[in-house]
Amino acid sequence: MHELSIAEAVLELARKHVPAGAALRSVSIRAGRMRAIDEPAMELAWRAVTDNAPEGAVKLEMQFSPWKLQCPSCGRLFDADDYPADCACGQRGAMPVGTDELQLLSIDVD
Amino acid sequence: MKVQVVENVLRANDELAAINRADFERAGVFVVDLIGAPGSGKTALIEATLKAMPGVRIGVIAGDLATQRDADRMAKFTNHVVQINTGKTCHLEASHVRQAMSGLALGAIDLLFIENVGNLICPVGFDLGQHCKVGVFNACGGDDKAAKHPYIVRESSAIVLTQIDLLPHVNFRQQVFMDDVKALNGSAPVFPLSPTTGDGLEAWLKWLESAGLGARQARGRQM
Repeated sequence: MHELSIAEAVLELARKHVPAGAALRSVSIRAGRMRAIDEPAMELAWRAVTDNAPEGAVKLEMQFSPWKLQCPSCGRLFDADDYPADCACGQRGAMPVGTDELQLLSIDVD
Repeated sequence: MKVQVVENVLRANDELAAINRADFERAGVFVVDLIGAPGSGKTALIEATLKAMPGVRIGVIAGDLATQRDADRMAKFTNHVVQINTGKTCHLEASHVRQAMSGLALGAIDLLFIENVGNLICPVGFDLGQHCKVGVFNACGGDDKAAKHPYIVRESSAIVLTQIDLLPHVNFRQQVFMDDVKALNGSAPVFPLSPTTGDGLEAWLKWLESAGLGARQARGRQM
């Protein structure tokens, strides 16, 4: 379950950006679909790494970039929430060409 | 108060991976990260490569949740083996490889295989400091696995299909598999082979030479 390693990495990175004297309250991440991050698993992992953390409860906000698919027939690139997905031209089995980003977008502090 | 960050979550891992890579480069070692499901034949592939390349100094970092069994298998063919047991972690990270490197004499190795934990998903996104990733699929695993796991196929410099000696006994449509790989990654060659019989192994060995092993060996001879 790579969500646990990712949650640990998010918390470690977030802590580096907390200004002196401030307290971390929430983090916002964005993940590309190719990363295969399961949202419930990520929430569970986040609770596991922040439970008993000195910060107390820290909220996790997640955004997921849509799949970027390319049609093998007409070559069209399009976004899709699911993979596999069919192209508007009728061709089945458009293949993913992205996305795999994994970013800490922002943190909220008091 | 919101603080904008917009940074790669795995920055710390990637920075350590870059240090690993620099050390590998300095030592002239070509490093391949083998990623495949449990039972896909990663260990068998490395064993077959070790036997077929007796003139090449090959090292192995074997990653598993538990046991030394993979390291024990490969220790029959090379002294340069380190087993990493991750416990619960389903993938290797740069820190695991860094730890393993301290147990290897990099100056005595030409080619280093990192046998990742058996898993087609989680290991893909973690840079270990390797020069290339190779996705390992197997004939008994189903011809749809490339399509179902697009990330590893897209990230791989090459794809190996093992257990081709078992093709007459399983419902594996090789053309479906090859077409899926090509649609996802047109530049990754596919090597259908059998570590058991040796069929197809030659092309894999030649690719290792051309992908980076040959150049590093040549540089080593000049120094």
